[in-house]
Amino acid sequence: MARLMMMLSPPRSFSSLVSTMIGQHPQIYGFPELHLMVRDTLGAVMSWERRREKWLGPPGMLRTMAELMYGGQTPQNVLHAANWLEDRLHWKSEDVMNVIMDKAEEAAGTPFCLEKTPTLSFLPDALERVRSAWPDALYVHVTRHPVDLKKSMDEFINNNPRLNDEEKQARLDHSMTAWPVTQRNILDFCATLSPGQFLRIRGEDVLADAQGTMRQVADWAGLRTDDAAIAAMLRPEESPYACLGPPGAAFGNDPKFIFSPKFRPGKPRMGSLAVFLEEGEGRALSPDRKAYLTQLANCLGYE
Amino acid sequence: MMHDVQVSRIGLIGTVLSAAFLEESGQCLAVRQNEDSGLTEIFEPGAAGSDTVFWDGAVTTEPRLSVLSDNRLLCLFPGEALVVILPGPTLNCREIIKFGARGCPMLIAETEGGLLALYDGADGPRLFNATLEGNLSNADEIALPNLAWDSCVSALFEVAGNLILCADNLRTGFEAWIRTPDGIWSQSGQTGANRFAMNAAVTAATRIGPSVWIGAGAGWRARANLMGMPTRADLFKLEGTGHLTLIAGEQRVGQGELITPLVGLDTAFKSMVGEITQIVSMETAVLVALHRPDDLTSLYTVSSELEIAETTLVDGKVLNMHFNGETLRVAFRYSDRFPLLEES
Repeated sequence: MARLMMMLSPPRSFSSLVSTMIGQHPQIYGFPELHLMVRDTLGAVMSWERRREKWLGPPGMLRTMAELMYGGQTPQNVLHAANWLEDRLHWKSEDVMNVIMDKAEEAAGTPFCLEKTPTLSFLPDALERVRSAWPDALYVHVTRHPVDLKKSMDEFINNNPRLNDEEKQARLDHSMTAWPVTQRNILDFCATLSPGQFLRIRGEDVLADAQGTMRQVADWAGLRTDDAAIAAMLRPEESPYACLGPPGAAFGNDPKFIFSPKFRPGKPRMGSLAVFLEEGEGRALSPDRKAYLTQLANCLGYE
Repeated sequence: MMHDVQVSRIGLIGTVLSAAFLEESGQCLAVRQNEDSGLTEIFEPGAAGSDTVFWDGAVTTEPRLSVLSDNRLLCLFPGEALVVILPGPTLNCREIIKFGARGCPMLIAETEGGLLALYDGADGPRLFNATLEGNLSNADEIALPNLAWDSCVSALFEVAGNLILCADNLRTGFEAWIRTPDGIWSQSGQTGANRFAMNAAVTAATRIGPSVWIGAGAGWRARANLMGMPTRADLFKLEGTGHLTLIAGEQRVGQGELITPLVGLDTAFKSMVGEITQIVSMETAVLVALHRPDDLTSLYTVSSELEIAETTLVDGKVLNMHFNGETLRVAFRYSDRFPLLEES
């Protein structure tokens, strides 16, 4: 079976772009967001998805199954995939994941499968579940400047047509919480891994020097680092999941990425945490909280 | 390696702040504040009938002990006081001196010709050549490198005529610099060797032959803000040429190429959450003390073939180590987990 590579990141951290880029390496099969490991059993996963109005199941999962098990991402194949899942609600999530990874290896012959589900970073239990199921998994931790992440998160909330104004405001009030909670979960988890079992990369560094960063990721995983392999990683738009999927499973990745999947190099201007904490929305935070956020950001290379 | 070595443990109770070993005798001297009198005591732990030097100083800074090549012990309370201990058959010689016109330095380091003394100034730190007996107003000033505004010099060494300087930075990670005899500084490490504030501080540094071995990590100042977050330590070797090599630690993205520890990844050092507090040379190996979150210390040997082995566990934080070719002496402060133990 292929070896698992898991991307860990908070939402809105360039994770769709970076995971798709890494997944385009010729020796990696890159999945969209499978959402499988957030719960212990497939039944619990499906209940969770349905509460989020994903009636057929996780869109990324359905697209992947349609692609790998039924010959392509068509509306009919998405229904086949949904039925397959429905018949196995009692299965453990890891067993379903193993089936998908086997199919990926069969179809693409790659020694690695890459999965990213940002929700996992909120759930320490889910991270433990992944570790327990695949003790030799590799983890890529992708970070983004907290102030820029909050901006992106606020934009995402404001543009969400499913939320009313009250719901939007409630989420906006807490949009800075996701960053420290998820980063802390990831950092605590990584501290328990072997030093070579994870690699931390700043999303901004990928944008500024994609070729150099992707080459190091490939090197770290023990994969090909030749120019052709690295060039493939710079073409995320060629992933079968870097486009709108069929009805019932349209996304499975960040919508912004789905509509604009090409990699556009450039050195992003980073925000200032100090300004955010002293003059911006963070000024109401307690001094201890400010010190914690600052130090956490500093540990990840942000100010 | 370690199985041929006799290990002598000197357990100290919780009030002890620092300890050092004199080179010639291997005698251990420790510093603590006397809880009743408030006096600073410098004493030889476990030695029956030994003298204790009481020094009536109201210091608030943690003492830094340095053993000079003439076997004198310097006890520096940064920015506050410098105490010189002249050991003899009994610990009854002491000298408390004023150190130059500028008062007391923040950091001192021995050189071939004397000392380096780093002072805090209104416009930032200033570095001088000095001698213990000399008047600093006549001393040569050495220009410092272009440190970040909030960096704090934490280690100074002279190696084969070059100066090596390490500075902690809570915001961006530690810096390392090297100055050649022609006075040119060049940077050997920045942004905590690409681990940012995870490597905010140089927590241990020891000159071994033509290199300085460095233990780096978040440091207590950063950890105080991080609310218990576990952080790993890194072990580096900084060559006299200025080349900084990661000996053991986390793999990471570097400037242009992946940084992989020289010892590899699947070693005894792989679960090194904690802080390196001491590094000492054992001729054919380097011994590293890693103070763990459970307040115990693991001792690791790094052989000249770069093989790492965990050798022993110490019941507290290691304050100093000394190897005389046969015996390894380890001075440590008992963990709070062992409240009933007495100095031994």
